[in-house]
Amino acid sequence: MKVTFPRMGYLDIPLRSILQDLGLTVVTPPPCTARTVALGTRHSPEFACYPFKLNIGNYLEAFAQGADTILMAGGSGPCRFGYYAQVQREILTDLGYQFEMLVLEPPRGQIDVLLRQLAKLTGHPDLRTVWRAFRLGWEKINALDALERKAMATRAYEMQRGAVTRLLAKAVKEVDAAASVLETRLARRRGEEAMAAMAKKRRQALRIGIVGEIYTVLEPFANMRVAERLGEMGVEVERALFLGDWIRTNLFLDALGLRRERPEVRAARPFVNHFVGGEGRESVGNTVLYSKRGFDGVLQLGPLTCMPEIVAEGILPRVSRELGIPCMTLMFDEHAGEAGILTRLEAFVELMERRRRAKGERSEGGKMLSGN
Amino acid sequence: MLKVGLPRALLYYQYYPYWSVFFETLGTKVVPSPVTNEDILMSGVQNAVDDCCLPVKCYFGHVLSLQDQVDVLFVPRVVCDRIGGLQCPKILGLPDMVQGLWEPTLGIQAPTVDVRRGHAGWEQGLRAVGRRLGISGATMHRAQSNAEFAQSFYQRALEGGLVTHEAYQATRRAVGLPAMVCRNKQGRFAAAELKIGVLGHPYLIYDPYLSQDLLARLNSFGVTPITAEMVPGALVSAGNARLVKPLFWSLGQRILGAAAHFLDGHVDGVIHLTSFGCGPDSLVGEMIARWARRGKRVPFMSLSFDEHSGEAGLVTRLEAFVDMLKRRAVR
Repeated sequence: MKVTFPRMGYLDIPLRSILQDLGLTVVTPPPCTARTVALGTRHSPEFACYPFKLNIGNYLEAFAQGADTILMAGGSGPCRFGYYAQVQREILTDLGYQFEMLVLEPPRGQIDVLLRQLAKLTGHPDLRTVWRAFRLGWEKINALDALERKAMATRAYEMQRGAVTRLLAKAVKEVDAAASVLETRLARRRGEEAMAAMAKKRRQALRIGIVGEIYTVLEPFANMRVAERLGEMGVEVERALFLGDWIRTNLFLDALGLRRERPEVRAARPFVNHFVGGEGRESVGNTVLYSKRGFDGVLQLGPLTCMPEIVAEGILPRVSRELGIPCMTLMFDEHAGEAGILTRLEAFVELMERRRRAKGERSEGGKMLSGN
Repeated sequence: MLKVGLPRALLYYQYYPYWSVFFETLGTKVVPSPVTNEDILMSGVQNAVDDCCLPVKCYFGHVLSLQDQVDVLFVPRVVCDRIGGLQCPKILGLPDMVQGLWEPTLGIQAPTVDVRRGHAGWEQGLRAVGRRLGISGATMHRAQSNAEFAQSFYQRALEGGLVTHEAYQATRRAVGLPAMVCRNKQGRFAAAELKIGVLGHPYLIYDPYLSQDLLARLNSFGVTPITAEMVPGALVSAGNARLVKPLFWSLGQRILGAAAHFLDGHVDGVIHLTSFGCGPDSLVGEMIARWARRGKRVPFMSLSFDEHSGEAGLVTRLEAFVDMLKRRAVR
């Protein structure tokens, strides 16, 4: 049995680590390329959202490398993602592949179901092995999140273009290779310190917050590396979503019934007072929070036709007007062009710069008046 | 008299009897927006987010068409109207999305309907609205039982083969309300030799403008259209039981269940109507198309509708499909 799974950002690193430690043979799908897109779109419904198509591309490329079992997450709606695995299974079956699809449905407060599903997959390894595998995987998730966070915060100040991206890639490779919690921690610290020690431009960069649908936000291939590009344009980037935070709220706390009202949900209340699937409400709430923290702008990302993000997109103009924060939405699919995305990003950065200059002049004018 | 505006779009096509009978028994005047027309759709297209699906854009147009004509706008947030079935995210977020289009004097009434949470189904949702409008408890109780009776009568009438308008008139007679004048009449369809299963969200197939009168057109080609609403609930559930994992959209469940029934050979052909930009349609349609291809028994066609759909294109495709079915029937 060779297990594969769809890619999403750095998810493949902790997931492979966990599955291998549980004694499984893993085939990680190669990173997404134009070929992945071509394969995925050829066999997916035309109007399915982009992650669906990239998943299909990942499976087919992994099958070509010998994978025969797919590990996929399920869901209870109303976002389409919850039914992805069911339709994907039909598509791959009709293509003539012999495979098994294991769908991890959200446990909804029943952690025992999750454990039983895993036991079925791994053939009952002892609890110590399971604990160790997950402990290391969790450490890797946290390390990767921290490294990415640091890279997005420092890229705007790099002297040499691409310096942070190189340091990040090196640190990620070390985390991937780490065989223990201690090694992972050391790799994380080395990476963070290298980025902190790097020569820096002295200036106060613009700050932008990224919100949106989790796959598009986490997978650089699906969002045309917007976070990196913004950094290279001299913008400090903060992202509202990370794998670790998502797992903490949606798997652990939910499974233990400890899910509390999160700050972004509370912040969204004046604009959207109900769950709308996916990250729709969170996108609105995080925009409010970024505005309160004085960010220069918010960028919303999602796949084209994404239902929850369209709800948020319909509400964001009101948030933007009432709180005075510029917002821009970018929706991606296989037809998105790099030039178009770059132009829009540049225009948005310029708009934020002009606003900041205007604000600065106004406050200086204020000082002069009070001086008189 | 207090005027309650009901936008004639989205869930209106399923719950109109319930809503209208409820508000009429309360003694308010029910003002539905006009049947969709070009102006309504265009104002919706201009005021909704570009990425929205056709039916939600249409809903925006209907909300705007009621501007300054009503005291209250009824935009319920229907989350879960049946255990195990959710509405789509855009219907969940509808009251938040229409916020800011215009505000009637007594506001937008947006009760949350979620049968999973205790008893907050239609009953609780509508009671809250009645309270806010200052209606007495006894009147509300009568309105609710009338509305419930009307809705179940309407659903039985639909399963009995009546088309929306006729089923609705029969419902009004049964509840004891005067008949309604309606310019857009879709009567009982003339029985014809061919039967075509027409699948799609009710707000698309029963909206004569969005669907370009597809049901009546089929009938004029000598076809009896059978919609998912006309398939008895037990058969729909049996169809859904074939899925590895049940679908979580309540509208999709009806469509998939009816599709399974149709594709077993109970009709001569199946047409699936989809809206441009509809999320659930993209996955549900894929399942139906695959079932049809595997079964090889019943011909299947999918039609996608958007605000630019041309009439000629639709007629050509329908004629070709019906001709093909007629040739098959002769063989």
